[in-house]
Amino acid sequence: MPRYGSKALTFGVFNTPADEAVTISILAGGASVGVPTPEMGLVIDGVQVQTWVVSATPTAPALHTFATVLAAGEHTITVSFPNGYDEPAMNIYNTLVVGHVDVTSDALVTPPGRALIYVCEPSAAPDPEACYRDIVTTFTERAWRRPLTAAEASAVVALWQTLRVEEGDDTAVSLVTRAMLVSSRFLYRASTPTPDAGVDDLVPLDDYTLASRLSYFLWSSMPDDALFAAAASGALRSEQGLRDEVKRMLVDPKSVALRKGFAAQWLSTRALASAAPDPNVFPYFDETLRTAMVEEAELFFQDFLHNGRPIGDMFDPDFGFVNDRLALHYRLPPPGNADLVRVPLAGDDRRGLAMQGAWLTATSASTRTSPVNRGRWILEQLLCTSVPPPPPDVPAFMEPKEGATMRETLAEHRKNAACAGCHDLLDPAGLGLEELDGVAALRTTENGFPIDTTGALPQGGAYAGARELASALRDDPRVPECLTEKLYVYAIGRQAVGEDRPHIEQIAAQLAVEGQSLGALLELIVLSPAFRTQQSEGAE
Amino acid sequence: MAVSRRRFLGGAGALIALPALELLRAPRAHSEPEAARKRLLVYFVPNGRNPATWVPPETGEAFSFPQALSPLQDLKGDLIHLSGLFHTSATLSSGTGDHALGTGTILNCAPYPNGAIHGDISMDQALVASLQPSTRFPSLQWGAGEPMACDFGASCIYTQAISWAGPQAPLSPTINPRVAFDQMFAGTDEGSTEEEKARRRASFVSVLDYVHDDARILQSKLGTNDRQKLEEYFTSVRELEKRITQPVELTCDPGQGPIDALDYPSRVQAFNDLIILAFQCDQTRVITFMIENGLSGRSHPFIQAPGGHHAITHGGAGDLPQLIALETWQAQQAAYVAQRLKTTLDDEGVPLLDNTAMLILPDMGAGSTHDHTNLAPVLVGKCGGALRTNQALKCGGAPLGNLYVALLQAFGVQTTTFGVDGVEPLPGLFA
Repeated sequence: MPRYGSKALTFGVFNTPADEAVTISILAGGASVGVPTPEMGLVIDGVQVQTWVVSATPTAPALHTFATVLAAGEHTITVSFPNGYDEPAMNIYNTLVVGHVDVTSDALVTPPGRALIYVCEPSAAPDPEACYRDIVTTFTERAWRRPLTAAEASAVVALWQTLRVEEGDDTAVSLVTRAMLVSSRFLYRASTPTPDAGVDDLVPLDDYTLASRLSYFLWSSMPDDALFAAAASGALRSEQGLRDEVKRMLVDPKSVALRKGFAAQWLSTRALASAAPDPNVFPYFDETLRTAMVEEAELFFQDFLHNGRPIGDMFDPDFGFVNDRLALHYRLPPPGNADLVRVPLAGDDRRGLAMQGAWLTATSASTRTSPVNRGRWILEQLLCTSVPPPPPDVPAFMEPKEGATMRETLAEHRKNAACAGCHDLLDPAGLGLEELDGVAALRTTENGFPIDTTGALPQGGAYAGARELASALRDDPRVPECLTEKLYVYAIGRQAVGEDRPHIEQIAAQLAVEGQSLGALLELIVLSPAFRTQQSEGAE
Repeated sequence: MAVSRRRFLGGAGALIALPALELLRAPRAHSEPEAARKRLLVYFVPNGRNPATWVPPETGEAFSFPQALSPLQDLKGDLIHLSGLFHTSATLSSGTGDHALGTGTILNCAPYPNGAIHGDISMDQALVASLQPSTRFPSLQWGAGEPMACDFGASCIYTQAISWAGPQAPLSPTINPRVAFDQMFAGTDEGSTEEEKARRRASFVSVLDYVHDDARILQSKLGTNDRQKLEEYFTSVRELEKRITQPVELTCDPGQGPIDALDYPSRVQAFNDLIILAFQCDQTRVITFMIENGLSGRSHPFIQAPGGHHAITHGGAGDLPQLIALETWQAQQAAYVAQRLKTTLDDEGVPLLDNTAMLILPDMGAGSTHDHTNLAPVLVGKCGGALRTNQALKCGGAPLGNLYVALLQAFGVQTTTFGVDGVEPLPGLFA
């Protein structure tokens, strides 16, 4: 457990072209319980130049300033926490919360972002006004994610010309960029297709809107230059063109957004962030383990984006991701690394989604497992089986008997006919996983009783324990069908309605024929008419 | 020419409450009716309240403060404890989870057609629509909850918002206190001289005219459903234009504002302080704040209540101490805001609380049984003398809508109906 220690956060490496007088201001607040008030240090190029006792709070922070001169060259600015203390078992600690670090030079300097907006330099251009016109129209094209018509370009330039009269050329540029960032074309993705109608009331999305839909699906961000070029050339109108782009985009580092955007929701790593296992019951669950579980689930998903294996293999893989901390928790040989690495796994090794720490912990209560929540997770996340809500006047939870197991308590619960309807579905699905405790550690007893791992899936038969559940899910066709539906919803960015059903079923059927891999599923979704068209609303 | 109060104070560090000088009072204050200067704060708490520790057994002026209510004890003379209110709209639907019904219709008393986002205008928005306040922000919606699991059979918005501008128009709360602070105070007064500021405001008008006209062009090319969606955009642009083109007369010093990325209890604290700041600086007079979302499963380890909130409301006697600790902590937060409203003065030297109605509003009665028939909210503040405080009022099954009719009338709105069940003002509330 950490005692008095020092933490440091590097905030910036600044490159000053010439000697500069600067003011460094740090917005910070802190708190302490049972230990001294937090101190904060400012370190420039490895030398501590100032310390403060931070008596302000995070909700009402203070600015701590320091003036100095930075010589020409590179400088590293670090904020340190020299007297940090954290002893959770005794609930004494101090914290330092840093809001921002500002390095303000006393003279005007060119900020690093200027070159992104100033695509030419007006002061050096033969026709400064033409240069400014270029600047504002280029910015608008990027903000709107497509080229401008002649009329649109004129209107943008006219706005700049109106503003420059009172505000000056450069402030007018700044105001135009602000205009574009509140414009409807930036905030919304609106397809304005050509008048020639499509087939069956499905109107093709215009090339640039399709490009945006593709980039926001795979990258959660705007298209890059290559994707814009593909839109410009009409390549996105062909299946091959789309396939090529999907392949390219999936290996681009920006595809990490699929992990953070989709996998984090599907595999419950987002929910894990707010899970709070009771330190009295699970003292060995700490932030390092939490982080490892999050990383594991997301890296695991990412592997399946590229490995071409069927989705069912997620339950029966020959590999996994562990670091030393997670390996300890899973009782696997430690890989000798604090970062997660891919390791081969087989046979009785702990592996696959059915035994993955993130969702098992996220669905648990703070002091125990929750088979009902786990059952609900399996039904909703993996099988897309929805469960109706509890009836009105739900009675108080049955008092857990002294020393009884969760299974026994829940069985009492299901004797009530009003509850049994749903709980006969939910409870057995989760009860088979009782061998994994509230932080997903393997156990053989509960309150002194040996664990009974009997469980059952709705319309799926019985299973006993996580390994049998994994086998059942590996072969269950509902799993890839459900994942299809969830990724489809994520891709088109809205809830599925009746008209989507045939598209989803078509994709799932095609997927079954094409090998059931996650990569193939992504491609099939992008190629589906649902992704490339919109319902026509008729003439208005 | 308006004289800035800050300039008059000459940069003095602390805020000094000056007697109101005719010269300094903004002209609009003269033309505002009395009722318009009253304030509404709805302070929402989820998952019901445990009746044994929240509802005093007594009726009338001599009433006690059970444990979870005790943080409000020092405000006894300023408050009304209500119980026995019937939440009709939450009982009108089946096939939808009780938390979606309880939270989603708690402030609008709207009937609930299963599944779809329907809803209707909530009491706070009805107040705004009727009074047309001239403050920079007609109303603000804030919350400290982070979205977690949603309830069955309903859109997630039903547990994550209580203010509705109309049918299909829920107002999602801002959940980042830094963003809420910046919305009010960042970028105000761009320009260092009055001339620069005026010039900048004129530039903003040009900018917003441009985006408006361009959006109309876009709208003309869209289908019917999308056109409707874009109307929401036009409303936002209009409201933005009103805000940034009015000269800003800040009669308070907002300070640095909270740090971004705070933990949960710090976020609640930050919002508590922002509520006071918003009222004190007269940025708005209508605020709804959700201390957490409906169906909240939040753990509160900082008060030794690690169990998920929703789980412990359905726990047995073993979980009760945690639940009471949690509800007490939430009452402490509400009490902190109420106390600060009492000690903070507006720009006429009157305590904010005198002209405020603060409604501490749970989404249901007993959380363990999802009881919609017996709600127990607490009203703090006399609302400009309209409310008869210092009493525990048993409402005997009166409809929740009647409470809102009474509150609307207390604010000077001429109405006798609200929502699906409000038909008259709740008896016993008025002074």
